[in-house]
Amino acid sequence: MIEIYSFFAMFALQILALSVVFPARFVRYTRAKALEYPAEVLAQVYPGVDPLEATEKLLMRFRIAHRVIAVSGLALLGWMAANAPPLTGMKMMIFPILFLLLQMLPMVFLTVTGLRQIATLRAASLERKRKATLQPRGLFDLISPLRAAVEVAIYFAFVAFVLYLVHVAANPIPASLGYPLIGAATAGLSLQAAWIYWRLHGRKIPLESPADRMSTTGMQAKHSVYGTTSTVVFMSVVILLPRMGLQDWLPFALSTFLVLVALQFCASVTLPPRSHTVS
Amino acid sequence: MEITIDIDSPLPQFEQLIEQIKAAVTSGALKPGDSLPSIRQLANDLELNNKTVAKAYQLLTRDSIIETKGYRGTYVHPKAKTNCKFNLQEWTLRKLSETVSELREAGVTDSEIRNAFTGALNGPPEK
Repeated sequence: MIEIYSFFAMFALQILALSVVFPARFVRYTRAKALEYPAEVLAQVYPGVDPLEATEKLLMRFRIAHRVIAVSGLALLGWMAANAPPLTGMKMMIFPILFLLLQMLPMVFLTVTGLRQIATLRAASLERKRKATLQPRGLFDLISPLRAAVEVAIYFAFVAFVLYLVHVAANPIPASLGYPLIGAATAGLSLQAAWIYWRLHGRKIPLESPADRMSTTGMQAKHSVYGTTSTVVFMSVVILLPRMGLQDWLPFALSTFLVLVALQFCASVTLPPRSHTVS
Repeated sequence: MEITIDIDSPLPQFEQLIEQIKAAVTSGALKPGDSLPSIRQLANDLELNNKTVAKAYQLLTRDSIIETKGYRGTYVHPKAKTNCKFNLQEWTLRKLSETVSELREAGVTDSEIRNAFTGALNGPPEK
């Protein structure tokens, strides 16, 4: 039973991290960012609209959505606790995954809204004086070569480990499990690389200063390294636990991984000093 | 080192770029051997066409203020500071003025000089 209670504790942490802590940090961050945008520029793009009021409305909906999700998460936790004996092992794993997708929904909605605003600002071509730094940007300005090398080494070690288990090990894992795991790790790493490349060399986000761009991209790069590492470690644990006869710990392992992802989300939001926030 | 492009300025954008890079070299903000951003990076940051930045870089390379080292990138030329002091337009005007004076002394009319100049610009004279 200890593995089930450990899983419940981790699931409660998942609810707390992604539906309580993350929204609070994100709201504070967005408010501070909204104050940085020049009011006269926004008035040109959105005539007759108070941008700060509109941002507050949006953030209010975001918080309400997260509160509803947090309450439904607690209800789900209660339901799982009541049905724990029949729901064990792999059957239990579907709930934290589905709940994570639910927790991501408000952020997806905000991202779509943000992308639409970027497109509007870009189309308006508001910046009459455009600034740039005369310094080349490269990956190693953001993360150390050692960190990047460690990430790549971890990826190749994982691929070698999975190939060993599929083709060489005495008790091999099916290729239908091994290759999708390699594919998932490769896709994750490639997506992160593409995202960092785009942030480094792609078009800038309107009204974003060069210093802001470097700091946010640097943080994203750092977190993507942690993300890839934790994903690869988690996938290795998923392979190893059943081989060690500990398949009942899989939901706990999954939930721990999701909590790590949630904590990364929280850490990726740089909070401004408290004096910058609007009460 | 930050540069600013004013899109409402009557000065062409590539010239604004050239002037600011030259100013950075003259003031010492950019030193010989310093690396410069790629054409793509600068064009994206300034929301300009790649060709505009490429033209500025091409002219700066011609004047030996910057140099391109293949895939390694673009760097400030070792003699950039000295070369910045050289005004190509002024030099061209002085050279042409000297030639025009010589031709006038030889009795060539302004109209003949103009036609010859156009011919010289369009290609070598036919023999």
